[in-house]
Amino acid sequence: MSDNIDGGNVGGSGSGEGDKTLITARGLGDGLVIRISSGANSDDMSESLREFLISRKKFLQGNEIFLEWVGGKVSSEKEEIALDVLHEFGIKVKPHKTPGKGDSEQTSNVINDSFESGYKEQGFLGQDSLGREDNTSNFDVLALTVPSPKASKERENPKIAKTISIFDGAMKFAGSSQGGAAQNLQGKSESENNLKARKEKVASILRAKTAFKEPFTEETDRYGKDLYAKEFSASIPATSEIWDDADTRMVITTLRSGQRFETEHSAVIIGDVNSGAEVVAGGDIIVLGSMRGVAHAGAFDETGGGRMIFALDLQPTQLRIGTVITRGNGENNHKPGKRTEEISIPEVAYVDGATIVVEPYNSKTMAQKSVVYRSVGNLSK
Amino acid sequence: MSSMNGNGGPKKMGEIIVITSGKGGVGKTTTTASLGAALSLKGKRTLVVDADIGLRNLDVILGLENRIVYNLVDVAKNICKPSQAIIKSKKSNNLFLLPASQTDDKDVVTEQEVKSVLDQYRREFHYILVDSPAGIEQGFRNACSGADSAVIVTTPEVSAIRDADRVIGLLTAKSIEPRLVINRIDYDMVRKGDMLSVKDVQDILGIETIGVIERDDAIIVAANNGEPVVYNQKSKAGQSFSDIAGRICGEIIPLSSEPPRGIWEKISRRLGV
Repeated sequence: MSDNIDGGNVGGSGSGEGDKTLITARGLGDGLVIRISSGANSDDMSESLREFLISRKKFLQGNEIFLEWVGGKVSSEKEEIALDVLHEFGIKVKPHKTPGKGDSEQTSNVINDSFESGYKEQGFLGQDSLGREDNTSNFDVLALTVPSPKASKERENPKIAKTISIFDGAMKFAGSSQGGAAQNLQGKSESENNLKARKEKVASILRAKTAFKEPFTEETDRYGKDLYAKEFSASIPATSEIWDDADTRMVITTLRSGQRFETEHSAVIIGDVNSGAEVVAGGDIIVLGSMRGVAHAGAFDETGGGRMIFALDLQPTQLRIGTVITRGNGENNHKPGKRTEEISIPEVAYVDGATIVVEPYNSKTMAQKSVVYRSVGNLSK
Repeated sequence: MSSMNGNGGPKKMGEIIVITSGKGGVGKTTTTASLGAALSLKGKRTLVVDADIGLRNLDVILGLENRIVYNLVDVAKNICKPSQAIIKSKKSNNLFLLPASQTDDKDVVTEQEVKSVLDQYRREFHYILVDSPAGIEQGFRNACSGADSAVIVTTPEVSAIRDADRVIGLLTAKSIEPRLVINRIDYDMVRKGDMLSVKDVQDILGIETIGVIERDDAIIVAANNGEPVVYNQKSKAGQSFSDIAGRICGEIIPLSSEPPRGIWEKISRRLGV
């Protein structure tokens, strides 16, 4: 654990190598726990912690985690430093829930009680009570953490338990976070209400995840997805990241067939883009009107740069983002009589993996996704 | 509007209106002939000009093909006097035709030449209707030179609408204000959902509509007889053309809504239900 604590080499000699020893993360039934080795000195620790958090910023930010110190009690000074760093990244630390009487219901998800009580004496690279290596280094939390319902309730709704597979085998710890031991012994009634709310939150997030992944096809009822978006947005915190494009070009006109609007940066069009017209932008394309032509966002970037195409009424001939092309489904374009009766909803298109996904526009999710996609280019995870 | 000159005085003589569409075969020539006839019936001295050099048709629709001596190209090249080239129509004293040449093609005259030809006629006529060829090339550009406003003819089909959209873009770039005529609408097909409705077309093109012409066999008959359909009192299309002529003159004539279907609809219309 002290491999990387030598003079000058602070906490990291490669991608996360130093992180392994000083800082690790683990998913629990209740949430994510970040464990910091108490033996490290303050500078190394804060450096490693920073590195650790930067690489996992996208899903940690705005969330709550448990904080644990491994290998003995740590000075309050160090604790302060750690908390400051966490705070910098917008990560809140929540106090541990002590295992009370209620937790005796938990069976298979907890290894055993004796381990929990004996945890504090374990070395950092400890083994669990079954003698298995602590393999947190292979552990990678991919999603937002969700407080899961208690084990007994999980049985009632096996679907939720099954899909939260990343929390399988997780252990509950009686830890000392900065709050100390005796925290939050929740009363039964309160927990039941919370339980219901949390269940619903999980379900909606799962539904929404499916919604994002489905590519736009003719069979998809894209207006039905609006429901998902609404539920999802309630559980998503507003993003605190800002993407500021000072070079956006705006035109107020209806783009007629044969006309072409090209810009290196983002494009905003107040008016319609009629069939046969083209919009080519190096950035995003936002049409405050009907989009019936061809739109090419992220046109000067092979990956598309995580750009999006938005329109109040998206009925495109073709959508292109980077090098990915998708055609409009054509259903509404030529069908007479339908067009003026249909109420259109604002939709947004972006690349997910190898296809372009079209879904009803939701400001909070789009803000989050946009920043995520933009930071790392074309995500296919 | 171009019917008023700068200081708000009365309409100046010779408003030049170009009738164009982009797509071929949607009814430009028919519209030009019928509008010309309708305007002349209202007492306006009207000149219809065929700008489709090499493929002239306006003379056939008006039944004047045997009377052509000089044409537009001759006037442009100063081979003849302007008054020698125009032909009075058979049925009306107010309607005149300036035919196109059949032996040349569209590159034989320039925009400037056409503009100066039309300017020579401005003083003599209330309205000059220019029948543009299909397309967006030199022929179209020649026809649009000197125009004060335009009439775009389209049918309720996607291909025609897209071409009309293109032409609208080109005309607004030339500062010529376009107005829309929707031709060959079939309300039965619209009702069945097989044809775009008037609202659909207006929604896409987004310009002022000055007329809707229903599909009418009488038009074909009239064309073959060399008599614009406007002279046929029984034709609905003829009536629509007269309405358009009225609107061009500045009369307020509301666009007729879809005709009632069946006896009960007719009765409820009467009763104002």
